[in-house]
Order: sequence, then structure tokens, then C-alpha cells
Amino acid sequence: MNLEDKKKIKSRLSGEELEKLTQILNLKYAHISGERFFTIEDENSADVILMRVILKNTKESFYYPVEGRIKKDGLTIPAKEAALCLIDYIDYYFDEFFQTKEETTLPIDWHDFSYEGLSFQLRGQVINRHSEKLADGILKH
Amino acid sequence: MTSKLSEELDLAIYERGYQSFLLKRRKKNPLFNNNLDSFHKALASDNPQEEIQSIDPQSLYYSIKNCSPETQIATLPLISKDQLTRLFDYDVWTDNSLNIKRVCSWLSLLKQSSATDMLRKFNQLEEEYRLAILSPLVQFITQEEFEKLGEQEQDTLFSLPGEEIFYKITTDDKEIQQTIQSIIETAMGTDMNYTISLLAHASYLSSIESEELIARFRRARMEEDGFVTYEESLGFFKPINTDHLIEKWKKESTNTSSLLTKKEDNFLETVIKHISRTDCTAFENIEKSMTQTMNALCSVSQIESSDLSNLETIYEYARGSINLALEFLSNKNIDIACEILKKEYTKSLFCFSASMYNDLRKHFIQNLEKFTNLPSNKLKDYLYKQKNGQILKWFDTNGLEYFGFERNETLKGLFNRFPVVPFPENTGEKLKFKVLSTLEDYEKLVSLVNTNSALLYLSFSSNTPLSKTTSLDKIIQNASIQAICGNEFKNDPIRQEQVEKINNMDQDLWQKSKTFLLSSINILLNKDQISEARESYVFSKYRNTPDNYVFLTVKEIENLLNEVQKIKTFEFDTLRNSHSLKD
Repeated sequence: MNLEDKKKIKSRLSGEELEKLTQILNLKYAHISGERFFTIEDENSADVILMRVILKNTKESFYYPVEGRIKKDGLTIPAKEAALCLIDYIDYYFDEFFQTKEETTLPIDWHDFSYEGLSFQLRGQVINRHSEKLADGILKH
Repeated sequence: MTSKLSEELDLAIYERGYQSFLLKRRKKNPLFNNNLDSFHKALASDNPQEEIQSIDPQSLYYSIKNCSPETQIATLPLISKDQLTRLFDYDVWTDNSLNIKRVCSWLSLLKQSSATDMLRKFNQLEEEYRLAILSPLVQFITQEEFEKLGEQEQDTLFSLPGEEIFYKITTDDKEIQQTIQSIIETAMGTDMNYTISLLAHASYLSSIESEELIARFRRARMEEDGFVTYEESLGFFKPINTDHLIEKWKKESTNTSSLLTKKEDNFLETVIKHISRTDCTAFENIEKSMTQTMNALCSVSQIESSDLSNLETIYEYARGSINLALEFLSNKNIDIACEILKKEYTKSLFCFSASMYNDLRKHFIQNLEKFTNLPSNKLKDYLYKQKNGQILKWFDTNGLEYFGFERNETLKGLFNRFPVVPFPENTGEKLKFKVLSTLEDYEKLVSLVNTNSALLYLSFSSNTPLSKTTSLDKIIQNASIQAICGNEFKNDPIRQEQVEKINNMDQDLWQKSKTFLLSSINILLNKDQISEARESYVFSKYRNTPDNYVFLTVKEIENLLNEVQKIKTFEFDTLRNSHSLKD
């Protein structure tokens, strides 16, 4: 699919909606997220709905992207509703994550989950992007 | 999970009062840590069952939740019927609905001890609990009904010995299925009649009805522990008449805190320890009263009794408020504090603190009304109706432009349902706060409010209303520049010749001009000790120590002036343009 076609696919959540959800997420966990904050990304695709909730600090020495994806094929609810459902479940995961003092982790590779009758996949891995960038810099030299 | 993110509102988060500030927490929570110590001692004693069964159910629940799975497996068979019921009451309910998954987690733990222990404990639960757990999950099927079913369906059924009675477990969740099957099979091994009776009752009773019944009993027990309704919980924040408690307890005593040897000793904990050594009955009553007060706050914060990490936060807030009231009323005199704790309900002390916060908040809003055009009536209304969330949302939406980031966050901390104060060392990108828990914290907040009120008073004197295009800092800075240029302290547009005058000043002259201005402001704020103006912006109702708000106000103005090394013309052009638009 070329860039032009990609641009034609409407985002399931508007920029304002994403911003609002991000604000709520940061407010909800302000008391326990420390110096970290959340961002939400919505990836466009013809076949798959993919939502990414990232918990990170400014330096990105803690960078935790939690991704959820649902195949559009066979979906019985609107894409937007499915995207919100994914976000709700990822929020539920982060609730457990903080409650268990950050010990509840997700599989690194795509794993099946279901919630409210919807089947989807999740994955997530904590990385140190800051160190990775430094290492990349060293290797390039 | 009580609320979905997609349906969550920022207002609801603010109303809960414990989520929206980054807190620097105490490392040890005495409620959980003291109980954990006595729990482990009980387990290690010669008669662990007797010792465990003498522990208060709520304390026991926290201890069990905070220990390792191996210790949980060892402990659960020892607990009494009442303790088991209470454990289920605290842990297996979400939004007033029975959470079968959690029930099965506990039963699975018991099974790891032994299947007999699991069944024994299951049978110790009230009949309503057993039926509420089983009725949505089991279906009793007679032989006639079995024969009418297709082969595939028949394969999903389990049979009792004799193959005349069958049952079905109506869930796809494997863990729940295994647990329920385990209970039924173990029951079959001990008492077949009981098993058949249990299955029949569970099948023919409506699952909604059985859950409703146990929910009612559970609510009654939880209310005994202090987990009250939302409305009753909100009542803890209603201001009370503080005069009668002040008249009763406030003495002219000097601080005799000889027992408070370490700086980090919490006054409340020290007093409680003192009482525990001298009067055991009073100590037990006080602990119970404190736990009930803390439990009562869960409803307004929408925290479940099983949400331990957030419960710790609420408990810290509650203990902080009780400590503040105790420090104030006793003047930090340990003997008087002991008397207060023994004779007053902890709820009264919590409400006393709530009134202290409320009086300070009212005072600030009155200053907003007096010195600005901001919608203070709306804020007064929100404060009266205890809609702290609305006030915080107002500061979020509007306050940043009026007050700047740090000042706005500090004010939000004041108006939060559970007040917080900025942490002394704030490094890093997010502002950190701590729970307001001592008289020292309260006095810091009073000082901050008085400083902000003095700045509002000065901005009012400079003849400019606070607006989104003219922040408090900009008004003060601009009026200060005017004064340094030899004019009145007024927020008039900066002219080009004034810009040149400031930019041409050498460091020495700039320093002298600044010092002269700051000392004039110092005199202005200090003069007329009984003047109406000064009384209106200085809060003194609960003060013990002299206020240093004048020093802090002058310091803030000095910091603002230090930012003006050289006036950048375009900044003042913008200010000038905003005036001309207004004109």
C-alpha cells in the first residue's frame, strides 16, 4: 500500500480523542508512574487495528510499549469501538502492572487474549532506548 | 477493574482525590507493617491456630495478602470461620458483584494444602456464599434429562457414582472449572447426600437471587468495619465547628516532646506507642477507631477493600489528617495528645483537619474574589458542595495561564480532597508532592497561600485584572519595571524609552534600583499591622508561628526581576498590544 492510500484510511480515533485518552491515562496513574508518562499511538492499516500505549521517561531509558492488535476481518463491532476496547484492556493491564509493583509482564511476542467477547493479541517488552541509541551511535562510528 | 479508560472522566479522577499527584510516600506503612510482624510471630508460636484466630479479621487479611504464597497456604487452614468469611468479604467482590475468579484463586490455594482443607473451608462459608458461588456455575441434570441430550452434550457432563445424576459446569474458564470440579469430587468422597443436596440447591436457585442475598449480608458486615456508603463517606469532609475542640484542648503548654527524640518520628505513632505501653484497652479502641475512619474514606475515593496499594495511600492521608489535628490541639504535648486520642473519636479529629483545610481554601477564594475578576462565586459554590474535582478541573483549564505551572499545581494540591504539599527537594521533570500530615506542612501551605494572596493584592494594587493574557507573574514583573523606571507600581504599557533605560543600566544601578523597590514592597506588606487590607489577605486562624509570607513574597518578586536581565522589546510589545486591545 502506498503512502497516498495509507493517508486515505481514516484514523479510528481522532487526534483530540487520542489526546484526551492520554491525558486521562496520565492523570489516573500520576501518583505511581514516577517520572514516566504515557503516550498512545494508533497505527493505520487496512487489515489490522493496532493500538500502542507507551510508558516511558523523557530520556527513554525506561521505554515500555504495550501493543494490542485485532484483525479487521470478521470484526462484528465498529473499528473505533474495537480500538477503544483494546485501550481499555491495556489500561486494565497497567492497573495490574502497578498494583503488583511492576511485576506483571506481558509476553514479548504476540499472545492471544480475550475481553468482553473480543479476541485480540497483546505484546510488550521493557527496553532501554537511551542505551540502544548510544550503542547505535558507537557502532556507527 | 471498576471503570473503563474510554469512559473515564478527568473529573471523576479528581473527585477520588488520591490519583492525580505524584506522591513521595513514606517507605513503611505502620498499619501493614506492624500487623505483619505480629502475624509472623503468631505463625511461629507454639499454638499458631489459636494465635492466628485471635487476630482481628481485617489485620489478618492484610497480613495474608502481603505474605508469600507458601505462607498463605500454611495459614489458610488455620483461620476461623468468621475470619474466612471476612476475608471473602474484603477480597472477592468487585463493584458489589461476586468475583468468581478470585474465589477460585483462594480455593485453589487451599487445595494446595489439601483437597480436604479446601472442602472444609468451603463448607465453613455461609450457605448463601456457597450457593452464590455455585449457582451460576453448576447445572444439575437428572437421568431423564441426560437421555434427551445429544452425544456431544452428554460428553461435557460429569456424573455422580451410579450414573443416575449428572452435573454440568457452565463456564469455559479452565481454572474455575477445575476448582469447582475439585470441590464436588472431594465432597462426593466425604458425603454423597450433602453433595447431591448442594448441587440441587445450586442449580434450582436463581444465581442473581443468591448473590443479592449474600451481598446484603456482606454490606452489613462491611458497614460494621466502617466501609460506609458514599454519602456517609463524604460527610467526613464536611466542615465542623472547630471552636469547641480548640476551647476544650488547646492549652498554653510548652512543648514537652521529650519522648519525640528523632526528627522523623511521627507524632501520632509516638503517642499511640505511648498509649500501648500504658493502657492496652484504650490502645485497642484507638486502633479500631482509626481503622474504621480509614475504611470510611474508601467509598468517596472509590477504592475496593481488596485494592491494597491504593488503600495504603488513603490510610496515609487519613493518618496525616489525624496527626495534624492532634499536633495542633495538643500543641505537640504528648500527655495532652494521649488524653485527646483516648477521649475523642478519630472521626472528629479527621473532621477537625478537614475544617482547617476548608478554612484555608475559603480564605484563598475570598482573596480571588477581592483582588481579581475570576469566577470566585463558582469556586465558592464548588467548595460548599465539596466538589473538589470541579475546582481542580477549573485550575487545570484556567489556572496555568493565570498563575504559572508551579503555583497552579501547589494551589491544586491545597484544593485536592486529600491536601498535598510540594516536596521540599523537587528535582526531575514532574513536581513531587507529599501527604499533608504535620503542623509544619500545614504552616507551609498557609505561608504559600499568604504569599500568593499578597501577590494577588499587589497585582490588584497595580490596577490590572488577572486574565489569561496577563498572568500574575507578568503583572508583577511589569509593574516592578515601571516602578524601577521611576513611575508608580502600575501595570502600564512599557514605552520604548523605558526599555532603553533598563537596558542601559549598569549592574550596580540595576541592583540598587531592585533593592529599593523590594524594600518598599516589604514595608507596604508589613505596615499597618491591624489594617483591613493586610488582615484580608493574611490567614491566621490556626497559626502557631509567625508568618514569613512577606519574605517569601519579596523573594518571588526578586526572582521575577532576576529574569529581566535585559528587557526584550518584543515581550513588552506583546504586553502593550494586549493592553491596546483591551482599551
